[in-house]
Amino acid sequence: MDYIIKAQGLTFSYDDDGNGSKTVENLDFTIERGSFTAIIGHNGSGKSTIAKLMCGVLEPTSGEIFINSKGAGRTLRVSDDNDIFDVRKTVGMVFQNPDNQLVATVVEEDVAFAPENMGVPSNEIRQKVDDALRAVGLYEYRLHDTHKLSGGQKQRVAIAGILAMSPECVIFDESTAMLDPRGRDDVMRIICEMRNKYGITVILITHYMNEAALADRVMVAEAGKIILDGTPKDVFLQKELLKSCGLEVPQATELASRLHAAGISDIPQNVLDTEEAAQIIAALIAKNTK
Amino acid sequence: MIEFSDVSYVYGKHTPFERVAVNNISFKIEDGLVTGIIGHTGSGKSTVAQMMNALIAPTSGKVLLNGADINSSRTESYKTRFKVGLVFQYPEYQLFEETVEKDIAYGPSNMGLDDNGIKERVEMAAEFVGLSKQVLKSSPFELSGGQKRRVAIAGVIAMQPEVLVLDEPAAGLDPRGRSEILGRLTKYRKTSGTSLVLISHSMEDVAEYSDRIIAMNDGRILCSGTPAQVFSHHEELKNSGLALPQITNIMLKVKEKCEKQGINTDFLDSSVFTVEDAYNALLPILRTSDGKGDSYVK
Repeated sequence: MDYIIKAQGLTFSYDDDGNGSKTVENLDFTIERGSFTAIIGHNGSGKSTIAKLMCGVLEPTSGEIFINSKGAGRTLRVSDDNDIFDVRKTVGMVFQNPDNQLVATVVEEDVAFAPENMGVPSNEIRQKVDDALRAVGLYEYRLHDTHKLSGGQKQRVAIAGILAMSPECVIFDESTAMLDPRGRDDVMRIICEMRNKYGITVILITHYMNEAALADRVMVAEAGKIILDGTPKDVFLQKELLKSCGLEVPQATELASRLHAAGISDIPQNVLDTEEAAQIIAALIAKNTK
Repeated sequence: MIEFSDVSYVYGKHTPFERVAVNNISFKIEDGLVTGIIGHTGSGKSTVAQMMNALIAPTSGKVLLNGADINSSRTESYKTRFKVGLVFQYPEYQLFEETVEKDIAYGPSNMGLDDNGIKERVEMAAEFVGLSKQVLKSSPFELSGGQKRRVAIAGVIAMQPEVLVLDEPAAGLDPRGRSEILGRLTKYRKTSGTSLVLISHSMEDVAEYSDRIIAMNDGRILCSGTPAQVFSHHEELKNSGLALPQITNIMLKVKEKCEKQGINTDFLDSSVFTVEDAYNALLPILRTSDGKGDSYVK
């Protein structure tokens, strides 16, 4: 497997002496290049800490994270000070609060911030910024004030800012939590496009189970460990385990699994989205009427 | 009861940035009910919330609380702020005291209650939101995000308002945290008789917990009524950037797919919006489909 991120014995504690409770404890995992992974878990399960460790915002108490960077042409160690700039060029991060991550007052200047800092020649910056803004559908807004945009638009500017760095992997830390339904849809569509069109590896931390259902792989964090790891279909079969961790399954899955349990065996338990659920139910009604 | 009568609010009036946030709306918040307000960003719902406790006064029209104009005088507005409690989005950022207890006590102590009265209010409010006595003595800044949120809500509950207005009370919480906070609020409503106004982007939450829903678009009321009535306006809601609850979506798609195959779907109730209702609506229909229909007893 061509991996992009590999964690080995990853451990993190917010206590300085390292003897206190571990927020992340002895994790081993790899993220495949070009994949879309969702990490779910309740508040305090350690999922955001894992995300921050992967891009070097936090440094592990023990253990290592390796980034297999094509741009740098070698494997980087996140905890190595000599590698950290390459790590940040390879792995970008979009945070939860849209107001916390815009630095400029004009949309295109904000998007140009990272490539400028990276010393990209100015004609190339122009191209990168325009491409990034087109990718998130905000090219028309390039000269607008950033603070007058809606939350969803601000998140898209933040995403464009990262795309302008041509990252290989982008981590979204609950980036849709503060958005309205339209903003959430827009951001999720762009996330899927980044993976499908540009081959960027996507890691999505979320509380919304229907967003996690869009991923190739779902990891469930609980008390600093990964307790479930698999395709959404497999993970959302474990309804009871998820509930015991303070999580739930998407409503479509919940409905299907309850109908299945009530003896409608033609409906699988692990339906993922509304479209699939509707299709199966409609087909069953059609079969019945004939 | 709160009543909005021909209320408008204009930001930056007489400036080049003039913008009508609320455009001549009238509605009532009925006593003892949970009223959900939905609308996309910029639809005017937060402006409406701020007018409910006289934080801002309408540019034109009147906001009445139990028949009295809350903006008629400064005293009236001041009194209103104790009767209508407002919990902002991400209220945990507003905690400021040394201990949880003191933070919750801030509101009631401004009401001029004596020490015993304040203590009683604090304990009552802490119990409603599920904070233990032990937590009361700790600093609010040592708590988890979910606990902080509860402290902030307790601070408003401690004033025992007649109406509690909450802007996105569950945003950013995990599923268990969401249902716990919303469950506790509805329980509080039942025991105290306080009316709740719930502003949210989550159609599922609004559908599940509200008795009445007001949907806003462009500063106007798009539709209002019971959840079933509001969510039957599928097209209008979608066109104004709002989603339907996932379950309503499933039912609509089932109907559409069946009708494409020429199946009459009048028997299918598409106005359901919770998993429970959809399950109850679908089970008898699907049971008959595998020949077990006769054995199904309702």
